[in-house]
Amino acid sequence: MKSNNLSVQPLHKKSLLKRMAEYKHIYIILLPTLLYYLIFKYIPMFGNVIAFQKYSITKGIFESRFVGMKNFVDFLTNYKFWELLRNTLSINFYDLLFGFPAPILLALLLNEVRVLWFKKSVQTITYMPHFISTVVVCSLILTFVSSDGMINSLRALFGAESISFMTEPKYFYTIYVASGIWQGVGWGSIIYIATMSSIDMELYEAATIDGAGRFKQALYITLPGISETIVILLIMRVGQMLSLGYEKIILLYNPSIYETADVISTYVYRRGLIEGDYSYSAAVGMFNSVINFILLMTANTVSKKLKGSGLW
Amino acid sequence: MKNLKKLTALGLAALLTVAAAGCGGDDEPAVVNKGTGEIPETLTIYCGISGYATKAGAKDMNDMLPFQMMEEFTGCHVEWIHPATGSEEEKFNLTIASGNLPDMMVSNWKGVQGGAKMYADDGVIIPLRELMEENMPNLTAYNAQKPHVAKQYIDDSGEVYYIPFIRKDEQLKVYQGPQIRQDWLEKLGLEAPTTPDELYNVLMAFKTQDPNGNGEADEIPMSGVKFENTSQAIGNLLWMFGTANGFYVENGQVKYGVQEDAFEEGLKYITKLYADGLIDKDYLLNDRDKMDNKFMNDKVGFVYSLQPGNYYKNMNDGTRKVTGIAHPKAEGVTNNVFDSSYTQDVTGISIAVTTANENPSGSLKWLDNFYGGKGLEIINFGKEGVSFEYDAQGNPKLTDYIFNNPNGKSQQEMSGLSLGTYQSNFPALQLWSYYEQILSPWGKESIETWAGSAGTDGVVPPLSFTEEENETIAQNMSQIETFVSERINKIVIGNGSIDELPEIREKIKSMGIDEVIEIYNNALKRYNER
Repeated sequence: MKSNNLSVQPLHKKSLLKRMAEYKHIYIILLPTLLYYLIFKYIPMFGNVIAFQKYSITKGIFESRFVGMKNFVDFLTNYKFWELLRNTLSINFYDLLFGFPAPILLALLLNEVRVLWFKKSVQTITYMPHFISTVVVCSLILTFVSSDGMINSLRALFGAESISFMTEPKYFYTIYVASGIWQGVGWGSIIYIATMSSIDMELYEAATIDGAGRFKQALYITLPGISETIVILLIMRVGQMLSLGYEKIILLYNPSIYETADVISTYVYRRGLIEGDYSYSAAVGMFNSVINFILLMTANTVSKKLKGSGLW
Repeated sequence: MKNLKKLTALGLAALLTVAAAGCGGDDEPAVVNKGTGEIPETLTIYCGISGYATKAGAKDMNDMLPFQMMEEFTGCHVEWIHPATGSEEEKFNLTIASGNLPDMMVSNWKGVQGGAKMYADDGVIIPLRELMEENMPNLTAYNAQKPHVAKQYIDDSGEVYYIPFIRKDEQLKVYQGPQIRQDWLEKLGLEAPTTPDELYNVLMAFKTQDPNGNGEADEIPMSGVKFENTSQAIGNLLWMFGTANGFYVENGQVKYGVQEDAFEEGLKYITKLYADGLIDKDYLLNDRDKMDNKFMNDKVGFVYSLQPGNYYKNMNDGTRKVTGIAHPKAEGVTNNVFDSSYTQDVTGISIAVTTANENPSGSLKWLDNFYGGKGLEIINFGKEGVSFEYDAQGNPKLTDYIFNNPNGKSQQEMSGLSLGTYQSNFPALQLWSYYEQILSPWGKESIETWAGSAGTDGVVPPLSFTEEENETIAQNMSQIETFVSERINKIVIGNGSIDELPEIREKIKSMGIDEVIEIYNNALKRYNER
């Protein structure tokens, strides 16, 4: 093959090798990253073969029995399948709907603040929750919403009855999304604030001369200025639609709210790591990744059509 | 995604090892190499370490007094491999998948996924029956003396795959049950409840008559945790009605709680308690720590839990008193305890000999010291002159080294460091004679009360299943248990109604509960014929 290639397109090949030799330092710098992806992301993919097996740790990959699509069929016909899919999509959808714009709004608001000490303190305070570990955040949440917690105490001040938030399925989406915003809004706004600082000040001056007020300036200069960043972050966010982190949900949920709180990743966790059914959970995980991939591709294509720019 | 990565990494590890092991050629039945029969100079053993010992500073089980003594006594040095707390199962699986096996492995072989036999069939561990009888005179003598104990780990075909932790005395098996604020009962002039109705009345009095005396009706009469946990579950209230959340035996037949009439009666009772505000509104959010906090802050009057040693430590101020009450039961009920620890002398913790062990007979000879002779005293009491002294009658008595350690370590920490069977993490024969010395007065009293009032004939004995049976059980029960747990908890908190029970029963029938019950019945038959 190699010699064949060389004989067909010797010039092209040579020039590539030449270029590589010329910029060898840059290629060397690239090497660790390539190896990282190869070793930790691509090679392990072969392990996915256990999704088609009845995997047993004592037999290993080569000797475990092949069962074809059985694990996938079992999952798709499981009584929980639709519930899991619905919850995974809904939580993500609400998170996208409310959680995604929240940092943009905060960044826009902060951008208008001219009193520096106030701006800085607001930023610091909103960053803070990002650095608290998920375990602590979840136990804070559980304490806030418990029957004698902060929220119910506030309600009691107004004479409202105490609500058991964590045992009523209807509150879970709200609690999950709202706490996510609380934890992530400050951190998420950093990138937008940084982008805003690179917008040319002359544009604002020109707008002021044209008689645009603060609101119009934000709408017609700041927002378009950060729109590229918004789109890229949005595509990446859509690509993660189904890979919802399971840690937070596992720390928050309980059986009485499985109806709204149980998602694909928590189910994989219970089946795979607690019940030790590796093949089944590998199959579910693989299903999850395939859907993710489809969503990401769709988002990218849509973005290219609409804005003319995408991730690649 | 993260899970997937972990799984694929595990898969990869397995792939590499199988590739490496493949050269050996292992199709012919393994001939067990018995070894020299001499106690080896060194052994490598995989074993979880006692939590209190690590709290007290032990890095390794060789930092624990009984294992130091054992090395001196047997001349065998052990290199321990300890999994990190919380990732025991992962480490266990990785150790096996890696193919780099230690000489022996301590784990829950009794409840291991797929059954211990599968591990032997796949060449990870070796069968032990013959080796045990040849090399473990102490244990063999004990088995002959107590055949009902041996039956709990010698499987249906008469084979043995692991040597278990054994509780020698009856009292050691009873360590959890219902407990109540005795001082509240006395303050309100009430008797300890013995039936569901009496319990209801007592709890109602706790709620309405302000037993903690702070002028507010802030008492939570009963607290607990969700159904699927065991020791602290509010579902233990079902026991009074002769049923349980799970499998049990009635008239020689295995039953699954939800399918039975008694369960309906019990669930109605629990639902009523919850609706009347007698059960912690947040029981679903509780874990043991949260529950204990409420209890020790004078909020809670009644719980199911482990013996009240911890409550004694924190609440014993002369005015407060917690004690176990006799297991209550409804009229006509005989079996009112469905906790398997009450009947099983053998715990899950057990040791298996791997195929990598070059001297199985010698290893078992070493292990036999944990079941009799001088070694029995070493493992249970530690070192003479340090952790115990003989009294005038020649009985070992624990010393202030344990109770009032000069270095300021707590009694639990010192027990973890010095008493080898304290946290039952290494197989041995455990003795009541040391355990009763470290029990608090409240704990001792509770254990006596519970032992005297428990009807335990309904507990399912330790059955063994074939690989195929295991697969069916795992597959069906995984769906059924999630489903039942969700629906039952919802019924209790009033987000569902008891009228849904027929529908729930139909649904779990369609998920294959009958098939599983049949497997259990067959296994029970085999067990009884052992």
